[in-house]
Amino acid sequence: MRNLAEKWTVVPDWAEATIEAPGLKARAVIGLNQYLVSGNLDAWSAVSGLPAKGIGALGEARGDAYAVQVARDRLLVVSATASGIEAGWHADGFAVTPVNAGHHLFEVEGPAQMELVARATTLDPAAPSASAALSFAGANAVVYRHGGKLRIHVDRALATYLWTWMQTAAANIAA
Amino acid sequence: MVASRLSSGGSAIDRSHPISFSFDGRTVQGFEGDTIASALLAADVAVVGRSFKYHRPRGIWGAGVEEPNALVDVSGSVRATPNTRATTEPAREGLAARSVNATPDAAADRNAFIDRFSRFIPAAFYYKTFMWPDWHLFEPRIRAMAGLGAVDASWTSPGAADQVNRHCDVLVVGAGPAGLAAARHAAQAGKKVMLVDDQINPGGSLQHRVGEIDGRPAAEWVAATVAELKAGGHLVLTSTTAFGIYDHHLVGLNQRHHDGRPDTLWRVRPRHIVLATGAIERPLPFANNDLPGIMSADAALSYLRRHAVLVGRRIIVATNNDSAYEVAWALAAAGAEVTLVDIRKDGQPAAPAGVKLLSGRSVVAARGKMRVEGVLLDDGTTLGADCVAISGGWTPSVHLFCQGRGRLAWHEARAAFLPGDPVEGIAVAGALAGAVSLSDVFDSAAKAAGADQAAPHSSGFEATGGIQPAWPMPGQKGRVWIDYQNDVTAKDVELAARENFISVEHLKRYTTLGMATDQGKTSNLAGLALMAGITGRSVPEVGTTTYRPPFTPVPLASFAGLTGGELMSPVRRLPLENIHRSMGATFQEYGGWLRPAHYGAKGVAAEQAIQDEALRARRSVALFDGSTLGKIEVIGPQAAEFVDFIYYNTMSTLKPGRCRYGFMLSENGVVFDDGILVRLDEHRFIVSCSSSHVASVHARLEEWRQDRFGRDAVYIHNATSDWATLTVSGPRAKTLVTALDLGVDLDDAALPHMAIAEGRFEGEVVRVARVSFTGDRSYEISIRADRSEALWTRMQQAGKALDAVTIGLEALMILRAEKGYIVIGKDTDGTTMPHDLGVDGPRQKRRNEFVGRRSLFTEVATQGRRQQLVGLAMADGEQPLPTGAHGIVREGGKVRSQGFVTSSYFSPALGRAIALALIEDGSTRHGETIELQHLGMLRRATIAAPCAFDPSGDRLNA
Repeated sequence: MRNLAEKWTVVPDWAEATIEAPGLKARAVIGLNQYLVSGNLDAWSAVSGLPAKGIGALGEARGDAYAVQVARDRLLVVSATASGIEAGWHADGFAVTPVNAGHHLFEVEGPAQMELVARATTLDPAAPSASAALSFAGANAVVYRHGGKLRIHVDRALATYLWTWMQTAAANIAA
Repeated sequence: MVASRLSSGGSAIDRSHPISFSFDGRTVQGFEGDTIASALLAADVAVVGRSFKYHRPRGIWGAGVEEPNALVDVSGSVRATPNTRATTEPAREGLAARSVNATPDAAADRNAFIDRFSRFIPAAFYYKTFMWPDWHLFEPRIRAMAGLGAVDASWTSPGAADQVNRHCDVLVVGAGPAGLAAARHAAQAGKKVMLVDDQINPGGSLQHRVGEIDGRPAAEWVAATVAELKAGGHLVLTSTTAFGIYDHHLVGLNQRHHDGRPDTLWRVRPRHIVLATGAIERPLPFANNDLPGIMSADAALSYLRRHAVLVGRRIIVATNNDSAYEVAWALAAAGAEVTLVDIRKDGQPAAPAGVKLLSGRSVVAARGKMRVEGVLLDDGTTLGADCVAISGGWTPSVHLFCQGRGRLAWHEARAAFLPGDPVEGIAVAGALAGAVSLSDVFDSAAKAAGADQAAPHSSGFEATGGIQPAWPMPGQKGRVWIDYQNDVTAKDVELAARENFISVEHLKRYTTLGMATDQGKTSNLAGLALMAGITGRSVPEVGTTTYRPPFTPVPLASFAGLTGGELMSPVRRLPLENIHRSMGATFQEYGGWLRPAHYGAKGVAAEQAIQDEALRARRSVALFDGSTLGKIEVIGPQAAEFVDFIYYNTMSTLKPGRCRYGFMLSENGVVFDDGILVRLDEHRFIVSCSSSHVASVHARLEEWRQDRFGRDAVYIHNATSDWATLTVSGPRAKTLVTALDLGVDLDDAALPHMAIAEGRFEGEVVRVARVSFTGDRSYEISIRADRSEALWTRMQQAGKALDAVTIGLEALMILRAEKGYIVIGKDTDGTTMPHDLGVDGPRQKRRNEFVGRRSLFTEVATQGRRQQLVGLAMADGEQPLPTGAHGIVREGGKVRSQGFVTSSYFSPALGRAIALALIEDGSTRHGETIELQHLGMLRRATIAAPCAFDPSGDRLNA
């Protein structure tokens, strides 16, 4: 039986891995807390202290805790520390599910980061879009900016795929 | 020597960098900036290819993408590419070019004799031949002769092509005078502009036509305009073809690089498009108008001015319009003896200096064998010539306009289809819009750009729009070529008409006119005009065929982009993949995931390793990675009603902390997925669907949520990747889990089979579910995916003392099959309903709606002879049945299938082969022996219950 692991690049050590090209640097961001909240976002906002409307595609997020819009009634909430909001159903009308490990986070910095965006998505960077959930390099992703850097959340299981894609695209940008 | 390189001039070539390359094995000298065609002309190579059908000698016709004759396969110092146009391919040092469709080479093709039999092989002859006695007798020879170029076996991939998406205010296609002017107007109006041109250098016709613009020579104006655009931050791309306009005016560009990189694909979404794609010169129709040395008049001028190549010594310039006058003048000024033959009697410009003008005369035939030697005029005069430069008029390149849903309007006076009613978002300028003189061109560009600034003041070789149509005529004498590349003559068009293929679409397909790689750029109009003449219709009544992308060939690599190799259909990766690799796992791809198939010592065959794992799993305790299982959360005030609707089984009665196995049906009653539903609390469930169906189950849940339940009733969150699920199964499972010290009461009263509890491992929350896919006591322990390594390591350590074995998917598949547990899509097919699997309770008892309910009561669903899940028992010592073997029934001398084997393994626990199958009425035929057939071999097996091992289920709690 052929070992099909030979076909696929080994999963990188996310703590160490970087992509570097002229004007571009990418790495994984580990350790942030993430959860999905759906439903009555005003009620959630009252509890969490964060605005009910989330950041849109390529929008600018600020600070240690923020929310990104991923559907009309759903946010991805990202924070440096645990939110203290219980998982499950809240009688005020919203549902919470942690995705701390389920969403893998990449960060891309440098003047060429928009060249990467131009290769990954057909979105018009100049036109605002309410939802930050989009197709990025063919994978469902959540894309916005934080501190001048591009943040890309992707399903953990496809993180290696997206990393390989970014390496190839960065080489094309550099060429 | 006929054609030659002049000692000075040539705006495109760099004489300080001579190069040499080979064509058909002979060395050709040139300069940097030459195309293969310009260098061949300079070297007086007359025959550059052989025509597709008749293998007639062919020379270079044009100077651009419209070239029908000079196709070459290139290799050597450049990446091997078949069928490139010598007219657009740059000549490079060390390049090797080979003519196509010629053996051994273009000059001495051994299939040239075919032309003598041309009257037996007109258009569409193959529809009437090669049938008797058997088509397959002819097929190999025809395949060998098909096609033009040849693929080079040494070809290597250039790597993944870059693909870039871009948005802009105005995309201008074509950097000739019209495009440059339009781009400049738009930029000055503050728009973000993108300008593209398919040639290596910008300027279009200004590269070889004289002109003065705003008091400067044309070349200077071109350079200054490009510099101004670039300085303003606008993108100017050359060697870039806009190959198509797609929905919502998405424009596809293919950009060629000259450094070995693969082409770049651009997907541009402009707010406005300005098309300045120019026009293409077409030939004049006369007998033998395909001889080498007969070429486009504009091309002759282009080769003279750009490459300093004088294409002949005694040149006849034949025309029906003004544009050839500059050509005649320039060729004469360069030292050729030039006769200008104009079919128009009056209204044309005066004879250019140094040129002999014959008005009101036309060429009716060309003479010569391997190249043109003279022409015969309509008045009987013969003229000697070594080159005939012809202009039958200009066909605007309307392709992109039509792809953008533009309609064409026929202009009799121009003898051309021009863009008709405007299309929103697309403007046309220059020759495309019917402009002829330079000043007309600039006016049209200003209009297209919506500019209120004045167009540049310009003057060129003054031309009026006057043209006298010169279409091929019905009954014209001799072999008059219309489509050079596909060898279609006027007689072929007449044949099509006789056979009643008179619509333009039939004409195209019957004769193959316009179907070659040049897509009829020089031939479509003449062909349909002739058909109009034959059938007594006007040209617009015949109309054009549909214009489809790409305008010129685009490499597949450009469309593929970054989707090759492991970027194609990427597998999903387990959280612990690297650990499994380090444990020596052999991986396979299961349902889109890369998972261990088996572990095993080096040198042990896979089959043996799998059997060992399955055997030991039943004896002690097995560890395996089940992280791929779906974990889709269903949360909300109506979560319970929702799961009742989604599942075949009643789920709302499930108590918090319990799990239930159930089916999800599709609307036609077929079992779509099976899996476990976990209830965490009153309002929160976890759908643990099968690994390969997570995305589709998620989509269905969301669809029904939106369609039936309303947006505040229930919410769906896919948390599959958030959790790693590590399973402990076997008689010693409880001992191992106890050793993990998870803070969970593992007493069977507290945690019975199909229950779930929450605990902690090193401070991290874990869920411990007693769910079994093996039939043995089993604990599925789920933990945050990024914290799972420590748990796995502790399991391995605890397992050492218990003779634990780590098992892969293959062993797991045997264990579940021993118990008769199904795998959807393997033990079920697109017709399998829940009662076929022995689960009939809900169908009989449930009163409320659920997905697929009504389909369970159709005639098909309730009739007999349904294929039902069974086990198949065989005698000891027998080999496993082939999966897919059909159970057969012999009826009245015929054999028919009564079902098939779905899963088949050797069971180490039972010491014999086992199988699951879908067999007609199987549930009522236990004990019956049936025959099974596979690839001509017959086997026998006895229908039995699906569960072959531990039918009482005691081992679940052992």
